Amino acid sequence: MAQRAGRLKKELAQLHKDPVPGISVSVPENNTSSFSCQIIGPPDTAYQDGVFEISLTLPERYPFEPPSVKFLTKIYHPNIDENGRVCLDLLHCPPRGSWKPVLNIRTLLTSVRLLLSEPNPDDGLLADVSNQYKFNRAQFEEQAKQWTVEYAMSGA
Amino acid sequence: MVRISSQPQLVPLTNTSLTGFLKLSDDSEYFLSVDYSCYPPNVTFGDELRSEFIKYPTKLTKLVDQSKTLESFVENLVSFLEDILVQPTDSKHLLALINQVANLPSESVKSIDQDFKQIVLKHTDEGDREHHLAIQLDSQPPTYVCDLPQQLQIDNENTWSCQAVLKSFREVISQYQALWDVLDDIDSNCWVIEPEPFSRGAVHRRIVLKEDVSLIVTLDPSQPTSLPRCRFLGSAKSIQPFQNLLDERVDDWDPALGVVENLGSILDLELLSKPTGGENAISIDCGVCYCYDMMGQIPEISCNNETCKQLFHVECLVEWFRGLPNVRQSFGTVFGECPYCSKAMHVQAVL
Repeated sequence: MAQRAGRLKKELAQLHKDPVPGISVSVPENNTSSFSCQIIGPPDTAYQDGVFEISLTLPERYPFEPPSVKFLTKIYHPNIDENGRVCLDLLHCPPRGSWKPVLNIRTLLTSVRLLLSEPNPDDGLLADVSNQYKFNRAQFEEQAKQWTVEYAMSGA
Repeated sequence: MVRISSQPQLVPLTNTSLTGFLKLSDDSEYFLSVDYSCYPPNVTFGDELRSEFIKYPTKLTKLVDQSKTLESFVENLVSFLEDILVQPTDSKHLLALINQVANLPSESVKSIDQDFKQIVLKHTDEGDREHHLAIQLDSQPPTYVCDLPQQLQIDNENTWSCQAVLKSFREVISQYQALWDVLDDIDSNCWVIEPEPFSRGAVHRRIVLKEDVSLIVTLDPSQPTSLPRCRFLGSAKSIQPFQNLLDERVDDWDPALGVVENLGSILDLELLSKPTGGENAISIDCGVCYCYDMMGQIPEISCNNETCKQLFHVECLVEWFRGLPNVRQSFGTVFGECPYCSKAMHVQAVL
């Protein structure tokens, strides 16, 4: 698709010129549809000091369809399941979701990072974690912190 | 039936529910209705209490967690409300405070708010860096908000005074001079993208090494020029050479030199400085494909909304509209919404 290539070039140039705080994006040279990204856990959350590996894949019809995002690092979060799937409305086309071609890799990853600071338990992928987040926040924080230490801080 | 003797106006409905008015020691009354039979309990406040609890979003859950029974819940609720709503008007205490503030050196006071609930002190350190400390007087003991690598500890509550707070604030700041000198050196010589927003309390910096590799250095505040904790970010392939260099030459780190110099020589790298300028605010590119020229086409459709005016290629916009469920097409014209501002738009589709 004609739009995809041009847009990708522009987006990458912009990401390199003006890196996003809290996020690192890198492209494997031979394959320009799969990105490995890292999100730094937002400060003052249970994910603080953790670095979470994420894979971001651009579909053939990008930017008309949203990229797919998957957490490779295990994370304890109401909207992210054990296979790393993320529940975020920006990641789906209307009418199910709210993806628009206005959004890009940068805004999407920023939204994912925001989801780490502000989980959305009312649209939880994991019912028990959502309930724990809503009704027993202290226990949730403790568990999330423990997972962060165990899985997301190994490379430090 | 639960009857709470201190609150005769709370009428029991069942064994676990109450409704009526809560009376505080200053004779103010507030509507309250509680059903404690489920978890979380069903608590309904009148307008005044609801607006109070908006300021303390997690308080209600905490009160519930502390209280096993309905009686203890009401008791805890009353004591919390007494604290926030019934304030003793202690004019002596206020006068003493005003006196203290008046005695502070004038260059150390940045601002005092109208209700005398917050005093902001400032201190300029040896490196000409300005630091602020906000004292919140509306809680007992006062709380302190400042941007330092450590919390401010004010010990002797009995002899509390603004002077003493200012003194310990200055002492803490003087401990970190060496750290901030090193961090300032990094900030002025490297392309630093974190912490964002900038913070004096942060002991780490994320530095751009090359296009897609960055490095988080976390300094030890007590020995800022010693080898910091380093973590590279980027794809495994591109960070490997840097990690190898660091592992190999870790013994060459010379605490007598600056962190910037050390990193430069160990990683064999001219550290990038932040690129300046080149920021163009007006975009003439298509809002979908981010390009101007797309196979000979230029963006010729513009959003009619005066504040948006985003440009699009006809083909890009039609392609996006066709994928949407709520788009109408009449003859060759497609009707939809601007992907940027959501105002109605239409485009003549060329087939």
